[in-house]
Amino acid sequence: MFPLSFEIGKYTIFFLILTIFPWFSSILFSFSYIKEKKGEFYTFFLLTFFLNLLIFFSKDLLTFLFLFELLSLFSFPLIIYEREKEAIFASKLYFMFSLLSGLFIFGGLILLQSGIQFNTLSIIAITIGLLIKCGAYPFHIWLPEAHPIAPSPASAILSGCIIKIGFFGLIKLIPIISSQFLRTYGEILLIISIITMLYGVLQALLQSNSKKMLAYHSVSQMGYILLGLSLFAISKNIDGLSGSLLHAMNHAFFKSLLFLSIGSVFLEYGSVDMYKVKGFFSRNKVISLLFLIGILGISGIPFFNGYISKALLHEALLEEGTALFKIAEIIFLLTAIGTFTSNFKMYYLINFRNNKKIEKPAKPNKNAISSLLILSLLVILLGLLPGIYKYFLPRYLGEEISNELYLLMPFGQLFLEGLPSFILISIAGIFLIIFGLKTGLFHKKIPYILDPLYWWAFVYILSILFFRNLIYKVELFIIKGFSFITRVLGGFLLFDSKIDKKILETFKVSFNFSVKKIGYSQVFDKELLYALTYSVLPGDKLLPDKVSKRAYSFNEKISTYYSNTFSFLKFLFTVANKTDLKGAQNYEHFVKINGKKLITTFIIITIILILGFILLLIYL
Amino acid sequence: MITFYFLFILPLLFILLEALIPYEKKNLISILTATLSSLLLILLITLYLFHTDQTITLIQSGPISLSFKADLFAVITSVFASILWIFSSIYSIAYLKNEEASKIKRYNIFSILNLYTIILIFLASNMITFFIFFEILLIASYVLIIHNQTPEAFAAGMKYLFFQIIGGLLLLFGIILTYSIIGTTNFSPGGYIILTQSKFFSIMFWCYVIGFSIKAGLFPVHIWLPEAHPIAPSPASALLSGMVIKTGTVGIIRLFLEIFGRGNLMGKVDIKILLLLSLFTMFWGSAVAIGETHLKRVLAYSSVSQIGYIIMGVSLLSPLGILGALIHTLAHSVVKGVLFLSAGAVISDTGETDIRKLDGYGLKNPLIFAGFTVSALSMIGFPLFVNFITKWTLGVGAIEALSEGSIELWIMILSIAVLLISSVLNAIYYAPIVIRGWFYGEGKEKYKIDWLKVLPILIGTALIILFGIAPSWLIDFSRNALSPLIPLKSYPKPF
Repeated sequence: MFPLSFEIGKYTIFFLILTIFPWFSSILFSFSYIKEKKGEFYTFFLLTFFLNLLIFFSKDLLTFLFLFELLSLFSFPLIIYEREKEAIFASKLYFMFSLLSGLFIFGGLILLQSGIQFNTLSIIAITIGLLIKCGAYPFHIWLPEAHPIAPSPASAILSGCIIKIGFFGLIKLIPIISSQFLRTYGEILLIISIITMLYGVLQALLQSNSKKMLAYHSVSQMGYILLGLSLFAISKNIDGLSGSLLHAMNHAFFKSLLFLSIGSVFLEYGSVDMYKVKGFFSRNKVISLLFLIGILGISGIPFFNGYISKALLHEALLEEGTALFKIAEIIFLLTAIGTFTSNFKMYYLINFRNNKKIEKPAKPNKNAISSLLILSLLVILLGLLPGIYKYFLPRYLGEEISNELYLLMPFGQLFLEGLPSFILISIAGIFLIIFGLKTGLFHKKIPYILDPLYWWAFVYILSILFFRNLIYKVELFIIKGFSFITRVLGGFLLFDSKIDKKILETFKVSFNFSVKKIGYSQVFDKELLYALTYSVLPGDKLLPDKVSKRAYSFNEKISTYYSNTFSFLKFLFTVANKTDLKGAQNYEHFVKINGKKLITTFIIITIILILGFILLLIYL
Repeated sequence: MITFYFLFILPLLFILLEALIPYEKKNLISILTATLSSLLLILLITLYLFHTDQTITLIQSGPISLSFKADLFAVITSVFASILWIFSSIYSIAYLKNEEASKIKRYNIFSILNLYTIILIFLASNMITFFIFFEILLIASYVLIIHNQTPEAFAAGMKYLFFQIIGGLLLLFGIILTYSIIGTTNFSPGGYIILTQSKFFSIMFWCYVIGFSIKAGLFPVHIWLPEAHPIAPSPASALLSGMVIKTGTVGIIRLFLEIFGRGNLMGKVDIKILLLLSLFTMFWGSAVAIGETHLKRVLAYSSVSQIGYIIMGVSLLSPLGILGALIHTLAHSVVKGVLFLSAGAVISDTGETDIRKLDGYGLKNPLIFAGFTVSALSMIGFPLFVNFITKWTLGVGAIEALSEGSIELWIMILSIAVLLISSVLNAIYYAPIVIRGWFYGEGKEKYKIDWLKVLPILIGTALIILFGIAPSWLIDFSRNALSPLIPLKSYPKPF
């Protein structure tokens, strides 16, 4: 068997628990959500499930890479499930970024085979690959496109479980890093994580599509997770590592809860635009309440699980006092305010605001309620009894943390210590919601320069227009050059320059476009990106129609001319066939006209070559 | 010995048989070709089991000596050639069904001739034999290219002929120089050190290499390839892209290991130039393929890129690099075979060669398009398929070459970078075709399943997945094949 190696590692149990509950709920929920194309959905859904579980048993990074690439491949049809243009764009983006991350990890693994020599370079390569999978800024751009467009059960597990696999890879990677590089590594990771946190939450505040907002929150919460990991890398901070592990588990639970709740909203209203949907609370009180539990979890409200992990991470952040850490702490606080604001804003907008009419309550949906109930119970339970985490964490971590987990129980010492900052966050959040809704602050957009999606779009369009044009021109030049040489060498009687010119003309692709013609503003047009990725060729929609003719279409005159020229070859193989007398006649006619030219050409070429050989041999 | 004689005479008998069959029994001819391929496969396996490393010399007069040696390297490449021929000939029973009887006869006769010469090329134990059958292969493959007899086919065939004749002449010149320096052209493990130290080394090297690379399709002499391979009928394209261009790369492997010698070549500037050229080919082939609209032209440019991989592996001169080159040669023949055969099925079903008009083909003919998808994904380099293994081996080969001291650091970084970038470029042109086939159109009417076309594709797909999951058979046989050639006592493993 291929050298895949499996083991039950230190973190296996933890990640399996993290994975199983969201998956169970999503599968349960999907029975009432997925009504058509079930075969396609469930095949790849369950294949993804299998790989998602298997990957946590991998022993080394090669097995990890193998399974992760397969997982990205099998989760592709989930994203392109609805065949709309946004789905096609998102799925191609997802495919490309998965491939890129796989290649980065692959390159890093190859470099690792050389022993110690390329440790730094390979670690950087593998980290970039894993960060693409995790959704860290600036590699996150596939996430807010792919996660919203997938059907809700798929979004739930994509955001809940699959981005944690990158985190798993990073945990496995850290022991390999050489100790002198480790601190720098941690600091760079810290900077990336705080930018991710802040950027994610800022974008989340400005979204109107609820699922896209949740996807940006996934980016932001991954920033939290990476923050803890970076603190662990810098100073072996156990609070940091366990904080990020616990936050990973918490995020899996409340994010999948949120996505499935939004899925229920979609089933009721057919839309997830939070400004258009109103009054869900009066339609379906039970699901609305379970929805609220998810909101409370992600915002870090005491008694729910988000509070536990955020408190641990905050503790870890306080350990050092350098400038970087102070900035990190401020951003931590701002992100918490932003998370609170955007989540409660969404909850309010979707569930209430129906002052005029009282909606009829909807039919209870057993699948949805039970799936949401499981996750909500977990959210509440882990918030009230954080000691349970100790049983999932690896033994050494569990023992070190158990004291702090005990103190984080409701009304424990650490619990009460965190309350003041929580009250500050909630007051600031409530003010921001009221202020923002009144002034329309939430309808602004982030400037294009900061959004990596448009960096990618710009580079992509430039590379289509300029780069491919250049390559085509060079290839054309080579073909023309060889045609010229062969004609000079005596082939001018055997090669028809008209045919060659025809071939070259249809081969030529006229790219008369420059970026200026498209217009810089058009580059930032989503519709253009959708059109570009819909087609097969990069830039297909930009090409004028006459270029898309088939490369091999000739008119009859040239065909007959050519078949005369080469009918001696036809003669060799078909004159024995009595049905092709015309070919034989053509050949005889041809020989009468051109026979002398042919023979002289052959003789000239032979003489030149023989003379050339003799000269060379004499010279040598 | 008897097996050797069978090997020489049996194909000629079959050619005679096929020439004598009357025109009415079209299908019988193709079936005979398939039978011959299977018989040759059995013969080759017998050759390996009972006559390993035996040499047989047919003619010996002066410099001309026809001799063949059945070492493992020869046998394993020939086995893959005959497997590819079995696939292609079974497929051609269905594909060429509607053509004129004379054309079918001609196709099959020259297809057997092709296989015959390729096996003899692989079995050759000196350069003269290699060269003689190399030239015969030229004519045999020319006939396959011009099968359709349209003006474009003749143009492409003429271009092919022109290039290959020049290549052959350069090769002959190299052989003459070799013979004049060492008095023999026999392949000897470890090579001849006198050759690398002589003052004609550069001329010899480049004559040989350009001669072989015109056949293989290295930049900038690759331009015959995207015209010749699409214009041939699909089973012939599979053979051409699968095995005929590999004779050039096998020639380079034999050259580097048994004529020049791996240790003697290390550190020479010429090898580094070849390495950079092959890296550029890897990039260039994929880059030009991105904008192509004709399905088979895309696959032809992809072949150019893959030849770059193989030549890169060989010019790295590390054992793992050469191992990667060999596995890639064998794996790519199967993968490209499946790609061309399924492309042929696509074209004959829909009548379209434009990749923008193939929406939803996968829903209409899932089995064939599944074969296409699997081999396209393998080309991109997904694990579970065989090209992941070959890419890994080539990458580790580059690292090993650095540790052996034959290349500098920047070359190694460049080669790994180009390896990864070409994966991205492969994805850019393969993925849209695959996605478009499965996810775009509607699959209301299904095409009829033609089992003669589907069966080879499915078996090829199964082989791709099998070698991807359990590559140890392939890797171990290749290691055992290469270790006497270098010679190396314990051949490193890629994993």
